[in-house]
Amino acid sequence: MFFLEIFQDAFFAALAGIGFASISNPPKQAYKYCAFIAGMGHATRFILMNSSLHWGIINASFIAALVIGCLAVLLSSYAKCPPETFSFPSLLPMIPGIYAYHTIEGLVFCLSAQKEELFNHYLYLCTSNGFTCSFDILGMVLGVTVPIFIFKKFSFRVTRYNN
Amino acid sequence: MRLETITQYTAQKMTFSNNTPVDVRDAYVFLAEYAAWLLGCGATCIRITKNVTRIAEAWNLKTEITIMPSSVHLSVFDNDTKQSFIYLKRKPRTGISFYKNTRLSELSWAISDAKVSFEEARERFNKIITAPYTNKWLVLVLTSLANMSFCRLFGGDPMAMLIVFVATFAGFRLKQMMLEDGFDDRVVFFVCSFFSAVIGSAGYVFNIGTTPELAVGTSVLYLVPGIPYINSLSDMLDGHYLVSFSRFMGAAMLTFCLSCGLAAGMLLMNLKIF
Amino acid sequence: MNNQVIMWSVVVAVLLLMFCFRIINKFHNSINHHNIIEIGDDYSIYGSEDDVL
Repeated sequence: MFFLEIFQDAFFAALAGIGFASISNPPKQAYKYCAFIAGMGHATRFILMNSSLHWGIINASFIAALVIGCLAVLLSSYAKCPPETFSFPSLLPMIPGIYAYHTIEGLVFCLSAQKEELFNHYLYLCTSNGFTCSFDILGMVLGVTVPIFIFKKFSFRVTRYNN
Repeated sequence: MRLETITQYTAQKMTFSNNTPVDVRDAYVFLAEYAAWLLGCGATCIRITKNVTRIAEAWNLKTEITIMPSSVHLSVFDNDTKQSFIYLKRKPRTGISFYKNTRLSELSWAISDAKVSFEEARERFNKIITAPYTNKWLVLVLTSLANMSFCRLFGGDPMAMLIVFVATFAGFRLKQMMLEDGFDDRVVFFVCSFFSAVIGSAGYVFNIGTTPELAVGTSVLYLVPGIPYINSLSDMLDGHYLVSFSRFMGAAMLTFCLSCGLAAGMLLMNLKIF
Repeated sequence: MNNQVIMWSVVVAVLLLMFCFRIINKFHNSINHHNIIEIGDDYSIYGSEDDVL
């Protein structure tokens, strides 16, 4: 039953990855890698958060982004594209929209609150969701970019033998 | 007379195996255009500098490259005539294209491995920059499917997914139309997110489905400019803080505009989902 | 709730009108071979792909 859920999660993440990849005009061979990597990354996060491990969202997203980054660098030599081509669109399904919305909601209600207690409550909502959201996104982007820098020699050579 | 001396002298510096002399100034102009197009199609600064350095080494040119948020500066100091030249090229107005990024990187390797002459390189470059984009109808359908999958990933039910699909389809088509007609990016984002949010609120208006709040929340996510944020961090890691900040601010500005559109849509529909 | 339905229908109607207007505009231009209304015409190689995503 759990495997079905993981597979569903990976499938929809793959679909989202392909769709958002198409907006940035990648070369045709990159689509299937996008789908695979997006699916793997999101499924990793799903497993880390919903299995008995119960990790927090920031840590789980960071590990999932590392997985995406490493897979992207590994597969870029087969796809003959720079790894950014499929690692960036694969990150997009993992962006936490709800935290961002709660941040803005907290901010807006904060501005319209008159009493200190209410103000403090909304300030708390705004900043706590804001921190979670920012560190989550920061963690994800770091997780994807760091493998490219670690394997620098590798990442910048993949288009060499296409000619 | 000075100019002729330079032309005479520097023209000798670049020869290829077929011994046709190439004016080195043409090479610098090509390099500046190359860097500007790489910047325009969304490459990270580290990629631009590596590619340009690779080409410059292959052609025995000594140049310093400075990447600014919307232009590229190539400065050259000629040791013999003790003159310095700066080749400046503005970033062209073009959409992010990893296809162009890949092909231009390939071109730099081809030049470095001495597989193409200067004329061939210039021809290939022209072919790359005029290559057609992905079919816009395909992008429209794929983006709508992608946003629908987003809704599912956040836990939406099939009705919410359908609403999001329709909202994204209409909003993205509107975005394509408005960008074609040359409207300012921020106005486009505001208007498109407004219409998408209103269509996405159909779950509340007509009592469709069990998760209408997810439909509204997810219906505008296709507009979020994810790639500039990630490129901005890449640039920061490599020390190009100016370009990093500029990319981040551009993306933040667009995100702000789309949140305003979402807020306007929610205010109009009198939704109180938070 | 009725207000909501009216508002929603008005916005959707405006959007559909915008689409129709543009289609008719393009059709009209292609018949008359005029392109004065399309202010973005010089960017023909960039077109609708000026995406900033």
